[in-house]
Amino acid sequence: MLGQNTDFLVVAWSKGKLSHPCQTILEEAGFSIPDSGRSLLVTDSARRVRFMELKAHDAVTLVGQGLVDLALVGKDTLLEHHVSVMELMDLNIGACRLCLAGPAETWGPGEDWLEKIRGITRSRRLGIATRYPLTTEEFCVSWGIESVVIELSGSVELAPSLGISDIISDLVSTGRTLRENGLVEIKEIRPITARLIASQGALHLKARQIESFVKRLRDVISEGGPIDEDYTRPGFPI
Amino acid sequence: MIGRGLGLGWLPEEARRRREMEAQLIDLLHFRGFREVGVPLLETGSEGHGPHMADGSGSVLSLRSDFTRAVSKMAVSTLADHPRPLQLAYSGVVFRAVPGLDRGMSEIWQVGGEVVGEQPEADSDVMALAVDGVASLSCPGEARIIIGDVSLLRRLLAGVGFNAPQRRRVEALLAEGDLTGLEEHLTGTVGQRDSVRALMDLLIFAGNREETTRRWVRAGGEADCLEPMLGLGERFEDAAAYSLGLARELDYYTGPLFVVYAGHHRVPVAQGGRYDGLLKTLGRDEPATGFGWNLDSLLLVSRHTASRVSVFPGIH
Repeated sequence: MLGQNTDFLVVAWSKGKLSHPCQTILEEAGFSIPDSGRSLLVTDSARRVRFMELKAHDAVTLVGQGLVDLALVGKDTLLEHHVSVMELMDLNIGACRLCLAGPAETWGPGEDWLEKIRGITRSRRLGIATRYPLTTEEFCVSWGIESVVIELSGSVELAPSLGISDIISDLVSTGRTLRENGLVEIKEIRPITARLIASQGALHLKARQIESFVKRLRDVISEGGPIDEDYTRPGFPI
Repeated sequence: MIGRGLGLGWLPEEARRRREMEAQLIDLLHFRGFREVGVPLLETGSEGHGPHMADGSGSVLSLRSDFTRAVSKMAVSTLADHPRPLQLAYSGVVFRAVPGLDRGMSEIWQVGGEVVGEQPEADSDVMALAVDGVASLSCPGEARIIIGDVSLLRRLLAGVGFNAPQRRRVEALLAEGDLTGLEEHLTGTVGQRDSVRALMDLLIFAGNREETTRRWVRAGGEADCLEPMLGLGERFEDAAAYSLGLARELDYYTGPLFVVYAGHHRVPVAQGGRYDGLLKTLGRDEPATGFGWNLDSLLLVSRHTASRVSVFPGIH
């Protein structure tokens, strides 16, 4: 089965918005990722890597269980799912921000966001709708904000207008979706980028292969081109 | 760390297999001179890593998160007058807080042993026992062991100018698996890019004695210091590799550490190490080392082997 194959590295990338930038950086690093139609797996035989596209949560879970060696996933997923994985590097792609945002008519520019929230929480808890309940709760605790975090799986921007919450916490890149839904950014919780993660076991048992993989990506990020190095040498111990 | 969320329980076949494994591993421990003890599931005080609660009087209680601490307490109190070395075995569940998991907690079934007091070759014997246990369960492929030494890591970091809090931060980041954060921390502390790269290349790596020595020296270590750690792996021949980046979330380890894998499975099935400082904090200064098998991981590995059902069609 997949998790037992020692010769090939098994690498996943996230579906959705990160899919294209992940494939691009992998191709720039010298990996071959042919269009495989509906197949969930593609193989770069020359580099001895099997790639697959997975939902971000599944990718993190499978890396945590040692069934997938490496994955390219957003930091937001890692923050929300505390799976035991090794975070190897910041890929500097898929940059966005996890932010608090609220209705434009209520949250005008130049206001002290914390003072305004404190005004609300003097009489009741602040309702926050989000796909990121853990990270949002941690942020509220760190700022001493009395909140009720409401977990939604999508269309979070609708929550204030439907009366579900006062504000939302969600990923923002250009801010266009917020504007189109009458929302404005209130406060950045933290910047988000894609990360390369590994299972500790893969790092121990496939150290050389993973090191070469990381070096290829590092060279793309820092110097703009892939390396030319023998990548195909598997084996244990190195 | 593989465990199970609360409330999942054990299905009949899992329960049967777990019982078989537990019996086999306890038998092996007995054969090697260990005697089984039982330690409380509820601990007083809040120093444990498990979930906390309060009793009727408001005193803090915590669910057992770790056998080593509990067995050590027994060694320095009830068993204080017993001859050393003490070789104590245990079996049962520990609870670990896992923020992302449903109900925030993971339940892990462990079987293991602790050696308290001076005993020649104790580190090596404990490693061999951990490996032999995996082999005795007919796990797929050869057991592989990764050996590190937290005292070497501390000595190296002190040598290149890290103070104690900065060294603790390195260990914590390694234990958390936050290597991005580790690189930032090293850059902020060491400064020079080449030195940071050499440290990262050492700490992320696991490999044979020659490559480990090369990276150790490049990071600023003296080659001779590595010999005791490298010697621990000799009896395992090609089944051993070394990683100076091996660290634990539990902060009481003081010397050699190890992780065991079954064949090519990337889930640790056993881990352990030397913790000479722990008993001193409990009131009696004596050396100790130990390890635990993770039955959840062993079940996972054996299930994958037994069923041969692939998650991804066409890949075996």
